[in-house]
Amino acid sequence: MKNKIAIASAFLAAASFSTAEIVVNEFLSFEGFVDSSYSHTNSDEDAGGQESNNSFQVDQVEISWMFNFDVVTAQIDLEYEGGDNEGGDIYDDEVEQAFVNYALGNGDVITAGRYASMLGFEAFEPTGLYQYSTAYTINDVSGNSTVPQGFQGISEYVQGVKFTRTSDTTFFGISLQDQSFGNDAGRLGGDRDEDDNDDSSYAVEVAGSIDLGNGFNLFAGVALEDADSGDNELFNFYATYETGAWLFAAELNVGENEQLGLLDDVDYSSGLLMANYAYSDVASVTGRISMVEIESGPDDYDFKKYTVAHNYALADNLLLIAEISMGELEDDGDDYDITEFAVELLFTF
Amino acid sequence: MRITLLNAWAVALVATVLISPIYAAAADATADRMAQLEARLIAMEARLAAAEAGPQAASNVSEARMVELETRLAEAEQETKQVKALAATGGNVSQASTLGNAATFDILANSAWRNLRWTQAEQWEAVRPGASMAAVVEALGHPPRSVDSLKPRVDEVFYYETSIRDDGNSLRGKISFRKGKVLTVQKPNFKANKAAQ
Repeated sequence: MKNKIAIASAFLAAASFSTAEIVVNEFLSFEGFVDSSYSHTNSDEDAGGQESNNSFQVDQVEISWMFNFDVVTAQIDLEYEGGDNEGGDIYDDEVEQAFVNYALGNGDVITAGRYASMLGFEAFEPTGLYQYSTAYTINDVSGNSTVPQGFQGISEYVQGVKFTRTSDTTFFGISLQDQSFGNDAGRLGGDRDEDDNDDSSYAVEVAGSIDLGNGFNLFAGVALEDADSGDNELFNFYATYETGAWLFAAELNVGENEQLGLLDDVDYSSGLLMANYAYSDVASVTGRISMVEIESGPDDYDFKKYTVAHNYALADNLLLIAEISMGELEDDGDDYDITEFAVELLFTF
Repeated sequence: MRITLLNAWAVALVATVLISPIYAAAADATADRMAQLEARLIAMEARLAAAEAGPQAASNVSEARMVELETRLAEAEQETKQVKALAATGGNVSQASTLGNAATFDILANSAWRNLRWTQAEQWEAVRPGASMAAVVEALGHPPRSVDSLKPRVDEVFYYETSIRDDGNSLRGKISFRKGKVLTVQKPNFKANKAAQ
């Protein structure tokens, strides 16, 4: 759990390989996890009479194939991700990541393929979170995310080529990729639409972090996307401080979505404050406050989320999480609250 | 010749008779090689001890010769450990010897040493709380299994196991890490394993 401390996640993204694995032979090893949960959601939103919802399912199963051929390493992540049928989501089986690394030496690595974005404090996988839910969204009673339409968050996984340099205390990475916000995915360059604009679809991510010592880590990164539909950008900063059994984190995101054809661009900001305290060898508690503000012309969306979670490790590879989160939403004058209670069982191998 | 049940039995019988001596010879060859190594080791130890014994011996033995003997002794000790590690692989020994190729034997011995040196009790002496992860890998080799621990005060756990399911007759070691340093060590029960054997 705590092993996904902010800077570590950046380093892991750069190194592309966790050391946790089941070794088949010197060239191939596996790792993965099974994540399942029960959740109950209450809301005072007027949603056609529905005031609550329950979910009980295997949320995600993932197996990573890891290949090691000296300076050339590769990883393929195959996953099953279960959506909530009632919300209309689909069940996905997909190749989440597939990339090859070429080590240049001295911590320099070139990666090509489909890989995770370098940005963001919170991990994209449940194995890297300090609680059940992520900070910037909550599901309503229909099982859908409350994030308004038109808002384009950063993509978790992209396709491209990146260069990373990792030392004992620093990390730097730059990635040239097909997209960062989901526009024109699977394409790099070229003007494909019929308008008069000289479009060229691509995205660039740049990120760096430094370990200042005494438990302090700083991270800064930016994602810029030039898409046919407009330009999008996100600046991401976070800091972590670990002392004894405590871990503190603060994150700030500032971004803009340009949507050609619409009257107004979308400006947004989000942030979180989190504290995690390991009160025993097997248990910890997490408290988190997070917020999102989205503005598009006269339309406003404000979201605040308060989360408390308890993590109990039944074994090194089996974790039980209980969480309660409360979301306060103001969406164009429509105010309502959502409360979510969840129990999650996470098994890793 | 038609393939009949009788013919098949006859072929199987002949094959068994022919192959068995090869495996027996292979096992004998391995035992001979280990015995030779042990004998060489004992002889070198004796010579080294004699060289270090008194002023008369010291005057007759040059420093270069002492260094050479120490080097050869270290190599012999390493080779003996490798052979022990290879012996732990069981069936692989016979296969290597069946090939009748010393180079193959050495490759397998090196591979076994790389992967199975953790099965030697003395290799665990350097694994103590506070030791670095690199030092652990240097002493024991890469673990057959490891996991990013979900416990809050443990980052990673190395498992050195000959078998997960065989409780009675397997070696199991476990090392947990925090910030790249050994937090706890659970050594394999070598005594119980020897007793079981």
